[in-house]
Amino acid sequence: MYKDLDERTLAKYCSQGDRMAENELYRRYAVRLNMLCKRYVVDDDEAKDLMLETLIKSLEKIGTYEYRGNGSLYSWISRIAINNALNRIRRHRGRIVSLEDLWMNDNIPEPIEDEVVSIPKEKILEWISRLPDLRRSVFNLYCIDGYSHQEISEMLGISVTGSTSALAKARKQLKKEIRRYLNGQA
Amino acid sequence: MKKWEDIFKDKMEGFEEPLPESVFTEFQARLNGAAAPSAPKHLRWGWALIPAVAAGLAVFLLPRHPQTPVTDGKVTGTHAVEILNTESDIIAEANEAEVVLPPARMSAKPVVVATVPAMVTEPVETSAELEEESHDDTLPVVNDVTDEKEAPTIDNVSPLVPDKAKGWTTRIVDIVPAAGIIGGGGLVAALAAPYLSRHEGFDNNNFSDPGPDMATEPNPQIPEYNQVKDELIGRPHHNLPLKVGISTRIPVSGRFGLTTGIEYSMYSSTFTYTLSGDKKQVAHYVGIPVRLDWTFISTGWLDAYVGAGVLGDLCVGATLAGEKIKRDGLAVSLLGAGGVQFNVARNVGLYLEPELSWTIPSDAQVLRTYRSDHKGMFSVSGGLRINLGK
Repeated sequence: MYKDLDERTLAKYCSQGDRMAENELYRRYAVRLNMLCKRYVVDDDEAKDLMLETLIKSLEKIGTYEYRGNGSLYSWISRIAINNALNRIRRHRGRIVSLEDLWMNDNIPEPIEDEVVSIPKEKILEWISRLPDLRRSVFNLYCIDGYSHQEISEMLGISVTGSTSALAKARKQLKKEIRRYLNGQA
Repeated sequence: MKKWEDIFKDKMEGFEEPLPESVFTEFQARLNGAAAPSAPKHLRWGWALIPAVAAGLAVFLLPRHPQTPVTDGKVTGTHAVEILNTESDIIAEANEAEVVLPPARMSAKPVVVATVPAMVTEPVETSAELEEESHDDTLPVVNDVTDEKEAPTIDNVSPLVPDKAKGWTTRIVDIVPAAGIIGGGGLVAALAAPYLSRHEGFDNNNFSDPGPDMATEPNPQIPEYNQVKDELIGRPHHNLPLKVGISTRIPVSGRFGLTTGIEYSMYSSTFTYTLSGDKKQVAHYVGIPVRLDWTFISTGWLDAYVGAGVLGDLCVGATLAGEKIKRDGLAVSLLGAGGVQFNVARNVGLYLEPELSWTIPSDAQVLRTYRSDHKGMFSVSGGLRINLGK
């Protein structure tokens, strides 16, 4: 019965403390949320911990959720997950300086669609995990989660220029990985 | 045509890995407000101590130096070093002289009878093939110091660190390559260290003093040989130090962390004496390093850092040929290090760390070890580190 509930009703039942609704929330979103957390915090155990923490926090604040159309519940929960992930990264890692900052020229050709389609998802996740914290956060926020540089700068406490620069470096590093993989070195 | 970033986005959004049932159980437990099934933070790294302690135990189960108990019975000495003239010609005599060592502790102050100039580095032959030369009544026992610097005597040579007041100079910095190996699990090793030194109630500080018996009862075969002294020959041979320890890093601020822990070190050296031959000195130290590190690279699996700090080392036991001897006091060293750490788990990393150290000279250092002869040391250490606060 709970499997067929729409998001608004599910959120309403969750806010009333309905345990079955809470379990349904887990069943619907835990897996996707876990992958999102993995993109940000890299470590599997930490990602799992972050996912559970996010779900618990979402249930605590579910009364503040406003339905805005299909998919809005997951968007709302994922925003909580991203905020938690960024807090963790900020708390434990600090600002990271990468030696690659010294070399900014990006002469690597852009991969074409046919080349990239064949790359396994696990490889892509692995490459994203290898990015330094700032680049990884900006790449995830901009390219995958769809935030603007302005929003990213506010979330991360950096300038818009810093966000743009970090994204450029992340793209360069990922293109290198793609080239290496396609050339058979990965 | 789609951009590669968009393809990445599609793939990541569609990427789902099923979660085990245990995660759902944990979710329900958290909902119920029960304690999380995962171990408390202070125990999360507890499992890491298991391989670390095992490594430390393995170090002590490995064969150590051979047992060379000191006997205070008869020792057949075949060496007698005499100085004929100020040019320091040395004649090695082979005699079947019997040197009976006194069983009791010698408290008499050693008397310098013969001094050996610095050029004497050759080992004295022990073979009975050395011809016995006739003992010329005119052969003097020379007490003159032929070298400008005071020559080695019992007081200032043998495992004791030369006293500056006696004219020895100490090189401030003598950086030589050394390979100190630090593995995990030294805590057990450090606790066991005091029990490693064996003592048989014989004060070896005065071991080389043959005692009044020799002074008053000279060997009748060598009338002019008033006293037979067991003197140090040449320079000691120092083995590379061995270090085992456990280390932890405590975050201070974003990029800075305090690295500390506990280390066990073993310094072993071999001294060659005129009468008793080779003797092995083993000194055990327990130390606590404190270092401030700056992490300039940090990814999910790799950290790179540089740091500076101090190390306090206390000698917990020292033996010479199995006999307990006087120990060093506290040694303080300045440290400078850089390194990389591979994060194998959230709180645990394997590190590789080249380190420069310089031991501050101190009167509390009485033993002659690798460290006393090389104030500045370069070492490469590696091991297990527990990262608190991660």
